[in-house]
Amino acid sequence: MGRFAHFADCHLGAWRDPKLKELNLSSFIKALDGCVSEKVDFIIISGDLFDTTLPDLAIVQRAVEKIREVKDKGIPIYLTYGSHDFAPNSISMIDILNSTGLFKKVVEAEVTDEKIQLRFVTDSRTGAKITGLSGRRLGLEKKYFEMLDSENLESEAGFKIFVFHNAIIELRTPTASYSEGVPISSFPKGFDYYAGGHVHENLKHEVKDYGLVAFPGCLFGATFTDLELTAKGEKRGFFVVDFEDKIENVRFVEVKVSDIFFEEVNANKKTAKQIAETLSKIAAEADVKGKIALLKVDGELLSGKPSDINFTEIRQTLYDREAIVASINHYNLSTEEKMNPGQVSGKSRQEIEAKVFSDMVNSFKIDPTLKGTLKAKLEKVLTSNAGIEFANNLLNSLKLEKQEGETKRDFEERVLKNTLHLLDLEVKP
Amino acid sequence: MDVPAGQPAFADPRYNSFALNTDYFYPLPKLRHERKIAFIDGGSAEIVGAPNFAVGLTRLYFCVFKGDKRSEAANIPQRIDFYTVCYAVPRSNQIVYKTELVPVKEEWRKYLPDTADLELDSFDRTIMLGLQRAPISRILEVARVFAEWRFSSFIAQEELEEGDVLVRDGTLQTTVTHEGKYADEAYQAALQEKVYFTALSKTSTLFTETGQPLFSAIHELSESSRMKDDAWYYYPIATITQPDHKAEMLAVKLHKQSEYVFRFEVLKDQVNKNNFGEVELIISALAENSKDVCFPGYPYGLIDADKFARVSMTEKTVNEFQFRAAVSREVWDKISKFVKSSDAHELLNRLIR
Amino acid sequence: MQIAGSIVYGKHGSIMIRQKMETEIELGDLLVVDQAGGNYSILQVYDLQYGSQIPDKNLEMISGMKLEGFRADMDFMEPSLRNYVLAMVKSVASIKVENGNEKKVHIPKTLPQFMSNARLVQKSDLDFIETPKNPVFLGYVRSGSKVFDVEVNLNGVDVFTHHLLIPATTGRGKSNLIKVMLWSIIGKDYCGILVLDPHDEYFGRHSKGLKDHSCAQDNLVYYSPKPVAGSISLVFDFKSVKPWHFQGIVEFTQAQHEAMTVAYHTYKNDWLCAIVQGQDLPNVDPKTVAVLQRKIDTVLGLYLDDQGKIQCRTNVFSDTLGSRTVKDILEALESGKKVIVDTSRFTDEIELLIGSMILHEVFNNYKRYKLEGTLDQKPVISIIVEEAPRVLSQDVLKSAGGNIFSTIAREGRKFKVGLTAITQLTSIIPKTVLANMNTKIILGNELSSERSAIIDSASQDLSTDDQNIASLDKGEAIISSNFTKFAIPIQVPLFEDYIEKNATGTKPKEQTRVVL
Repeated sequence: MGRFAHFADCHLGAWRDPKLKELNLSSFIKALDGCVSEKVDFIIISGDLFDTTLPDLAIVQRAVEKIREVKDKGIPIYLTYGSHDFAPNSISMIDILNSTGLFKKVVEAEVTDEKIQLRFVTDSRTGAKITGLSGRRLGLEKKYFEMLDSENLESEAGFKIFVFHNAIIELRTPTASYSEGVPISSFPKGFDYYAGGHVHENLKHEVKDYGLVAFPGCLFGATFTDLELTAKGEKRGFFVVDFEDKIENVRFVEVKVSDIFFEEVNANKKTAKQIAETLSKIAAEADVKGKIALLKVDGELLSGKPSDINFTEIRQTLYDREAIVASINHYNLSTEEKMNPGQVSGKSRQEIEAKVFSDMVNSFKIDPTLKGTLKAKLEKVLTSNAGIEFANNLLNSLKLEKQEGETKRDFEERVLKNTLHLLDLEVKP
Repeated sequence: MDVPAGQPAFADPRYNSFALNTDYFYPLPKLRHERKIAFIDGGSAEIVGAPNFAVGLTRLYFCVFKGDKRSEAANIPQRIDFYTVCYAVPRSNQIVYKTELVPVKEEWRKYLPDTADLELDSFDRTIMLGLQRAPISRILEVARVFAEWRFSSFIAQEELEEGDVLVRDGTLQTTVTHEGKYADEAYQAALQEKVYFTALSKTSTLFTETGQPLFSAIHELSESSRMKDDAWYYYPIATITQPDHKAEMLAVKLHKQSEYVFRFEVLKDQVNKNNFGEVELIISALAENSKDVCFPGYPYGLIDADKFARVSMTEKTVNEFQFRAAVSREVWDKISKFVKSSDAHELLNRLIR
Repeated sequence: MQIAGSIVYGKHGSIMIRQKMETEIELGDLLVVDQAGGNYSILQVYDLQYGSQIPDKNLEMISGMKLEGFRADMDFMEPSLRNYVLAMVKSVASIKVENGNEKKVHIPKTLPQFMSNARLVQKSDLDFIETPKNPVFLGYVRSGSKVFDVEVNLNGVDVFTHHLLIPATTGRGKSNLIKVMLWSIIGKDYCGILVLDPHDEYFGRHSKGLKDHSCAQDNLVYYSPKPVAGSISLVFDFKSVKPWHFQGIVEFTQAQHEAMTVAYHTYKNDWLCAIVQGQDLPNVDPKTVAVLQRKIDTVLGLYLDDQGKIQCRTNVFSDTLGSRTVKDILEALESGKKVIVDTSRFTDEIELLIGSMILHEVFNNYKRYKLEGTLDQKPVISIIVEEAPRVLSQDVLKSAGGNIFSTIAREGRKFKVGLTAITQLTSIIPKTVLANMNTKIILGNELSSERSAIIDSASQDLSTDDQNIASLDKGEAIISSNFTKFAIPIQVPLFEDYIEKNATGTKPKEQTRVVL
């Protein structure tokens, strides 16, 4: 009998707030401890171990220490890359760690005649055969699924696990925030377990002609939306799967690192003053001690503007009441009064970023006087979905923080080099 | 009843007939002809009529064929229309009919007869019906006939060449006062251009001395000749010395499957009795134009000429109303009295219908 | 310029043209009569008859004699002059040159000059046909059987909003027409199209199809119960089905309707499961519930297995999969994508139920957008449904009181939601529905009763086009639309030829850079 743990979307390094960053890391450490106490034979991580390609090194160091500890206990970690922790045009932290042998990336393939022939990685202790595909931003992995040589994979005997990092269109829940996804028909059939990632909700379905498809959700979350879902009852943790020739049992093991207080206020047909009073009252009365305190206000104000509400003061009230983290989500708060031109609304920062990038890329026009290879290159990189991906990558690249001990000059060079790399250009010596 | 045919019977002693004889049937040479044949015909209709005046519309038309192929007229109009206005005037205790001719286009006047030739006594024997005064509408017909002769002159001169043929509907016999002048004009033109002047008549009132229609008798005779299953011509029928009838007369069956035998005349001066070859060729050329399945044995050109020369009832009616509209009320009131004196019969017809 | 004939008599709407020797005028031919100043009239031939200078009886006799061998060596003199063809034509358009050299189309109100020559239409005569904004390609201009390289495009927003009817009998090229139309608009986001595909013929599972378009990856979505790799499984969560989706699609008794309503009020989105599982329904006769369960099994294939779990025989309904299917389809349509739903493995009822589920949401959304004032920013949405009398016939509408399809046929125009109905039997669709379908692409039809129904409801006067329609060959059509000045005869190109000619629309072979 074999046993493995499956989790995903750790997003280590996410969060500006150091407390949330720490809680996120704690959930990862707790999950690994859980895996050890469950005596699993191996662990599968389905992408987005880190939140960015070059995360905070302090976080990386502590994560690596924990991974090392687990590895030394004889528990291998198999993983795929995700849509956040890896970028195709540059070296990511995860690439570096993979090269150290700390974990095993299961995406090994040959590409011949537009066909991707994946190879299996066999777990030596249990004989389980593992393969999969990494995630890409904006669902660009969809193309790789179309190129997959499924016949080869389906004909393989033994207990098989397919690891992936994307939503499956047919399995998304009504509340899912992902409009992209890959149809189930793109997956090779007949695997015993489909270890999914990217979906920050806990789902498990037996799919006819396929097998058990499981999304463990995120361990802690990378956004306030994740925390809101947790507050509403979404369980966070990992799957433990017992198997022999086939799956014998699947359990979900919860990982909890903090309580969350969450309250949502609908601002429709209310004035800014009324909302401010409501929020202040909630903040003053809520039991938020030692908790993550989240308030959300959305809708359309009858009068006044969102800027008329003193969110800072309300947040301070929550901190005064010993909340460990206080956040007020008002991204989707608007007013019936005319919005400023150029103002974009969305449910989350990521959604707003996506909208802005999409609008900008769609309206972008290459200088018609440019010709030849330069024009072709720019067309390839700066338009359509590729353009949006580039914008995201560039933003992430520019978010890089100066490392301790790094000179300003070195930091600038690093940022410049990364940016040019995205454009497939080099600095002239 | 089988009655022997006998000889063609002519009342006029200037016609010397030949006894009907099966030896007089001759075959037509079967050759491809290059000569042109012009067919001419005329039609007319009375627009307004009264005992003392008549207005008519007359139309002349010709077409040219080379075998079975139509040829375009190059130099003169193929069709001309003119109005004939006749009115009765008293002169020396006689009633004389005077005529004005109004061509639809002034340039066509040259094709029309001289109006002086159309001034005829109402008791001119050549236009009388029996012993009665000639009706004034007879002048319309006379004008048409004269115009046909004159027009023929122009056709021979302007459209045809040596060896070509002109065919008129009817005979080469002139009957009306002054008609001979126009016939001679036409003959002169033809002779000058070496164009054969001919006529083909659908009907004939000639008899044999046994009372049979002459051409039916000839047709019947052909049944017992060697020509019975072929096209043929029959000659001679009679020697003609009548000065108003300058023709050699023949009978022709222009298609082997035709049920008709027609009277065919050629200008006498153009016939060489010793070598009848040219006449045979003319008839053969005519036969080549007589193969239409609708009326085999009758020249298609004459069918065409007849069709386009007609003045239809519709045109007649339209012209009538135009005339009424054109004359002033005062004038119409004056002439309507005259019109009423002759249209009572027509009114009766309308009432009965 | 080839003279085809000369006007000899007639009246407006019925002009006779005598055909010139050695010319062949065809039914449906477009003829041109030139006028001064570069203006001209376009006439269309709607009937042909023999004309002769010889009376009929004589012709019969002559014919008999020739047949029986009499007068074998004779023939008509000048046969082409005396026996000829008369074409009956009607004036369809008057083209006037205005503002210098701009050609404008007008409805003809005068007769062309008597005895004027008519010539066969040429490509340059058709240059007044413009490509409108938001074009949807329908075919090439046709004159008789001759096809010109002149595209006929209509404004897709107008056409789809105001509904489209495609009447035709089997084998006349309906599917080919739809494929060509869709190919031309795949890359265009002014319209979202939902195709209920009962023969699985549009995607191109085994042959060339819409999947081969270069924009298919981003703009074409294919749902099938047996999906090919890369296409989406057609599966709906039970919760997506609502009682009102069945109206006019599946017949239920009054008692059954009430039971469904009670179930919905009690169990909300789980109402269907509640019925199948036999959960308590207050004040509903158990016998009614039992009958309802059987009916749901028959229609939807839902039943309880031995473990008490709900199963679906057709696999199109599920408790775990497809909770976003309707929403995804909606989002796709509202982004101007083309969605093909393969219903080839389902009964009519399931196919139409699926259509009903999606259309209800589409319609509700668009009504809401109109209220919010954002409808103008949305693409027009049209649903293509075959065998339209299943939902639009007199009988169906009378017995069931209507359904979402008929609602859209009547009211959809106000909300930019349209119907593209394909039918073999136009005569059984009520005139009130037909009158709302402002564009008709008429393909061949041998049934005279059907032709009459089509002609009666056409946007132009096609009363003389009965023969024209009867003689339409495969791929030939007549567009009768409120958005064209006259009924335009077209040839719809064969799909395979069309996509070859429009090769820029075909997926280019590109080397994919794979980074794993």
